Amino acid sequence: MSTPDIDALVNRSYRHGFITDIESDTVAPGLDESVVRLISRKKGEPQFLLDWRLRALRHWQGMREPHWAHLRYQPIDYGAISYYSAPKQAKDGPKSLADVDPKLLATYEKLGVPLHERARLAGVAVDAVFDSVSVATTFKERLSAAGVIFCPFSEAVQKHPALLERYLGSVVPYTDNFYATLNSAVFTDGSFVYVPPGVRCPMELSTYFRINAANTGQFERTLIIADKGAYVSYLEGCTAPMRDENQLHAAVVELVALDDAQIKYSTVQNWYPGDENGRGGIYNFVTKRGECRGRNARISWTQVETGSAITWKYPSCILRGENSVGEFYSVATVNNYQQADTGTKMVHIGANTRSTIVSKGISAGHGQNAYRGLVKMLPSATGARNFTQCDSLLMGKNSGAHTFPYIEVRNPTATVEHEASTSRISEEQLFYCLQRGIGTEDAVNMIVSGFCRTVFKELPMEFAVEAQNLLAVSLEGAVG
Amino acid sequence: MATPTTTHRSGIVDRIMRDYDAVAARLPDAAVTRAARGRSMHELARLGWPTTRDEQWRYTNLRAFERVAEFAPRVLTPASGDTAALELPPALPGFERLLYIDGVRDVAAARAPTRDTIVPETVWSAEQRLGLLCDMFATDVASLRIRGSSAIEVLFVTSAAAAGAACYPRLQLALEPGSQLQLVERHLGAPEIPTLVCANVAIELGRGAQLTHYRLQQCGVHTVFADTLSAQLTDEASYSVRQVAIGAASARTSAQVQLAGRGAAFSWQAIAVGRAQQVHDTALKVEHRAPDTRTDEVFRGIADEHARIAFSGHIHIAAAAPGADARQSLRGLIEGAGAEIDLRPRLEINTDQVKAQHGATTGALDENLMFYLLARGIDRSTARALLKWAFLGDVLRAIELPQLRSAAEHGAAGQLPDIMAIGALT
Repeated sequence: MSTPDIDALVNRSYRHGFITDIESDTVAPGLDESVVRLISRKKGEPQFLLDWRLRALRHWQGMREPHWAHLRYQPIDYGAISYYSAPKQAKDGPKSLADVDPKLLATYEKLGVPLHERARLAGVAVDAVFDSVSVATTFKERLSAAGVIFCPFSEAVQKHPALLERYLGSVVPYTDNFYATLNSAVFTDGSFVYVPPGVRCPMELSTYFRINAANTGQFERTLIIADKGAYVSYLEGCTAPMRDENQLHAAVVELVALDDAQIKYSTVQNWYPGDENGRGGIYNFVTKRGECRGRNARISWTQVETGSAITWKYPSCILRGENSVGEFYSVATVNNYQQADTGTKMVHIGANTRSTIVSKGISAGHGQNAYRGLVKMLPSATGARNFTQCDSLLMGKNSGAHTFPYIEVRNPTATVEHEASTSRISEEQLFYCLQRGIGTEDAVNMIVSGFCRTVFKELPMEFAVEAQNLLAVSLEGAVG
Repeated sequence: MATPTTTHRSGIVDRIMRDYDAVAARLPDAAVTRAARGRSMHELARLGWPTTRDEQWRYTNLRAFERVAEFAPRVLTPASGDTAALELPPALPGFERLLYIDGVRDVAAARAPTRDTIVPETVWSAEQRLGLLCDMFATDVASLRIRGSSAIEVLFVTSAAAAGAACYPRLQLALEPGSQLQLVERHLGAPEIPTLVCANVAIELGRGAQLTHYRLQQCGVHTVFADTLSAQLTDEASYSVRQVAIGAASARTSAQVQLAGRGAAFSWQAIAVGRAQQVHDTALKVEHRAPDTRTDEVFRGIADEHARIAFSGHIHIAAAAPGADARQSLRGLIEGAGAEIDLRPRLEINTDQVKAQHGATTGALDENLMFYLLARGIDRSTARALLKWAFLGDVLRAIELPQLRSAAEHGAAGQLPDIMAIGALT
């Protein structure tokens, strides 16, 4: 990327902060059994799912909000949140893009998300989730010809209940943690993907999440299953309007990879981060976990976290199948008063399992960035290996970078290697650039891009460009 | 003082309170004042007993502490003990020896505590709450104020008289500005005696003071050992710890070091070797509170058979500590199929003008190194023993006193019989 481009980006503010004026069907704030029953009824769900939601609600009511993360924020009033909001639409919902409210299409157009036919050129199938519901999914026919199921969660409930009943909650049970349990009770939509045995998904799949309505939370749930020998690459993006109030996002993502299957899950997280004084922004509490259930399975998480006022997120891998592989590549940037406590867990159960963790944290302004990771080798993980590289870059005397790794090894043949470093941009690197006529801000952007290169190269090309743009924007004003 | 009531009370805390009430009137004020004991009791009641759900107690064998039959000390007053019955190590040349048996001084071999307050009363954090036990029950204290240059060996010995009860070694140390001290702190115990040993160490280093602190924990195999240390360093002070932990059935070390003065430097080099069902858990927190402060942490742990070795190294660099430099190197070696190593190298950094890095590895012996030795005709068992010895070598070599190093080496090798067999010891 050329430096004039970065310069232009650096001078821009959060560009996805607009509000779409659309009539919505929003339930009153508060959470009890009647709300859960209402959501389930609106979705026309089978009894097993309602029962599951209600069990989750009862469990959640007995839980305490966790406060072990390196985060400080005002208490969340869970009773003041509306747990369902959806754009009003014809009773049966849109059958095709032509039936979708033009205002919604315009919203995604503005966000640069390819929903229209011209999007064929992009070669990415998109599921667009607006507040609590999916409003459009593209390329369903082409995918279906390959046997791939890619649809909104609520559609999967109707059309593929057996698959759902088998896999829902099998990786992240409804008792897992405070936010995942809340999500299990009130999740409203999300994406469902099933790739049958031996199929390589013919295109990238993408879900674009948008929070629009005020005083609501977003609680989507994504479930991806790659059957034996299957491959799928899934991209996830998200934005929200600029508001002075904080909004809650508590999502759950479950991945299941069977024998020889591979799932590549990429995220560019760009929720509204709040203003330069730390006012507003999304509270992003997300549970993401994949299970390599079969031999030689592979799950790869790549994330670029630039948005949200608060990020609490640990995409993890349970490496159960022999020779299975887990990967985690992450860039987390915080500026102004953003806070992130993010990392991963790699739990090695099967023999000869391998995992790689590369985490790059960048802290600017008053931002606080924490890497928290667990590498666990169980007694059965003979010959397992992990390598972790965790680097932090500090850009401001008021910023913070923190590293909290946990290494637990119970097998004498397993190997864990962990390295971490924290530094600021070196004077030598800056001097080298300045000496060649490159301005300070451009030089910093170049150095930061280089710092993140090992992660960006793991992203699909379209996302890599977007991620690099976002990184420059999110560090706006950090160089002084 | 009345036993406090609190919502944090648990069965074990109740038991501790009962044991305390039974002996409180007889505990000597010279070791800890009655008021301070009472404050500690209330603090323990407030904090409650730790659980493995607490981050800092996750790897401690708390059950071993909960199974302690009696928290009250049995020996309450200093005496002239029959030291001939104890197997004491030979005296270190040039060192003054102070001897404490079951938590009280041997009157022939230790000074009486001064009436001065050597260091201010320590406020133990939740991670160090076992220190409150020693504050409540301590029967004596080794209190030392150092001026100039000194070399002191403090032996804390557990005898058969303490079997089934508890003893509370206590050391308070203040180094005047510019002073230097070589301090050897050894915890020894007769084997086969199930005993709780709960030690507190509080240290203050004046400007430019230098302390080299050798710590050898060689308690008996049935001992439950807790060791709580607090150190405060002022400008240009330097504190080096060399710690060898090999004894006890279950041990927990909770240490906090504050680098409160500009240019203060701290070095921690430690090994822990466990076998059978031993559990060694160390939680070390270093706080950089002033500019240009330095920390260098090295830990090597070997877990054999079903042992568990855990080390948590937490370095906190405050915004007021620009120019801080912190390094951690933690390595674990698992030798037994049922053994476990848990490492937590933590960095918390709140300013950008720092250098901080850590590395942590755990696993089996390096196959490349093994191949190197095998290719030179060394048999496999000897090669393994040599590599294990080299693994511990970084820390053992840092013990500069030959006699003490030899004792540490023999202690470590005693845990690893194959090393003893190759005759690598000095």
